[in-house]
Amino acid sequence: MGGRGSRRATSLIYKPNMKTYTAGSIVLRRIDLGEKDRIITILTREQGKLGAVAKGARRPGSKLAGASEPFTYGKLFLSAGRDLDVLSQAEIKESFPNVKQDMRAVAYGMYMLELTNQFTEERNPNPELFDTLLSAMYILESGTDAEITARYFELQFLDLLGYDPHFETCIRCGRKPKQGRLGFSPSLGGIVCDSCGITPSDVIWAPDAIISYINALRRAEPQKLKDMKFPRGVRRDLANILKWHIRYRLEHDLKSADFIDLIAMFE
Amino acid sequence: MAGEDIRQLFVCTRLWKIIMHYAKPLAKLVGEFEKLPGIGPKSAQRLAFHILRISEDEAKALADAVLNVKLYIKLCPVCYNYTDQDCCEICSDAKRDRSLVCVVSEPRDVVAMEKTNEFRGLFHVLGGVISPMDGVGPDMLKIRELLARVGDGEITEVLLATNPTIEGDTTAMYIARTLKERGFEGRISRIAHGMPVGSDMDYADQATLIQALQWRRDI
Repeated sequence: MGGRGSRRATSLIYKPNMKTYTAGSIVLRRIDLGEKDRIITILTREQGKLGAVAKGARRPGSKLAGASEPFTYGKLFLSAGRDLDVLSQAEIKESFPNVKQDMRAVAYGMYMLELTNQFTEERNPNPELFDTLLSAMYILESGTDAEITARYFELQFLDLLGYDPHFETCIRCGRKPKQGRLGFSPSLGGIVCDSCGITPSDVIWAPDAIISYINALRRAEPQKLKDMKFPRGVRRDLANILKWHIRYRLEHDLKSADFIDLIAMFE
Repeated sequence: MAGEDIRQLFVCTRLWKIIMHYAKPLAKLVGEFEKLPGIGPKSAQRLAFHILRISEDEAKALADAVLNVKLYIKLCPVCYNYTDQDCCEICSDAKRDRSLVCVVSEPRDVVAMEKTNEFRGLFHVLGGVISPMDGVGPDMLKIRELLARVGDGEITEVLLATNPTIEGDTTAMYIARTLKERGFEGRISRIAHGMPVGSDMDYADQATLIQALQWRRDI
């Protein structure tokens, strides 16, 4: 079984006790370090979120400069370090140039990265989460409405992490809500009806028509998102519900959401 | 005693012992140097010992330079670059092209542009870039001041020279969009992106090559 040759053949696949490894990664965040270096936070399929130092990435012409930019998908060659791993080589698979030329797409893209960064723990792999984020980035690149892409990503993302908001029936009594309007309670994580006890103080009211849009979004094929049309009111209510649902779980606001609100004045 | 308290006590005792090795003024100087960015305990120690070796005049010149920077350097009320005068040298230079404004993120970018000896217009320093994930929005930069400057009517071109990063590009897009919304009819240009001079095509990454293709020009 497996002589020296076979061990060499698999040497690029990550194993916890190995010093160097390669990983398909999405750059979530980047901060400058000293004069020439950067610290990047990346999401990898194999290892989950981790921090790495990109030495010399700020030097003109550095091969690591482009690969250490947020919203970039690449194959990174890393060496295991004590606290942070060290990025030695990088090959950009996709730099999402269309997204980076559209301010609205950048704003929602940054929001998705921040959401992922805030909800994930280091070295806790979740391949499905990685795939969900990567496909949302490709959806954004294809020119799909940035807001719809972000809502689609939020619903998939929350489902994967076990925080899926409950819209089908009342979260307390299990009955279907009366037609007309529905109340969503971020603290309970679902809708509540008028007939079962006191209405929670944090309830957000919205027309019940929103459920059909949410279900359509949950079941949508990524390539169909481009054709989906959401009325302005539905967009506003859905954004509001998901914002407060996420805020309750995270216990703080996402900073990038402010910029989304700000650029809404251009629409 | 909890483990964390013991660790804290150990760290404090160790630090105290290190401090005890220096005379008080020297320990204070080492401590002050350590507060500077990128300076660790060893570098701080080396700098402090260097100060001990230099003459009194040299030490006084250094101390005066540090103090003078704090006392006399302020922001130019026009371009927001650092200056020690009421209006910076560039803004008060009558030979400059007042119809062209180059928008940069930091004062050090003005120095980089000036070193080229190619640019003869004026500058506007934003004091950072829009970074949504860090909570830095347009209101925290000198964008409102830029809009007021452009609104005076003398400026016919705004050159956006923020870094070609996602934040730099977002800042440039935001300014361009805002200028257009405000009815600015002049030229809004973006500094070119692409291959660095003297670099090798073979070693360029995908993102750089895409930029180079997008920003290609006729020759």
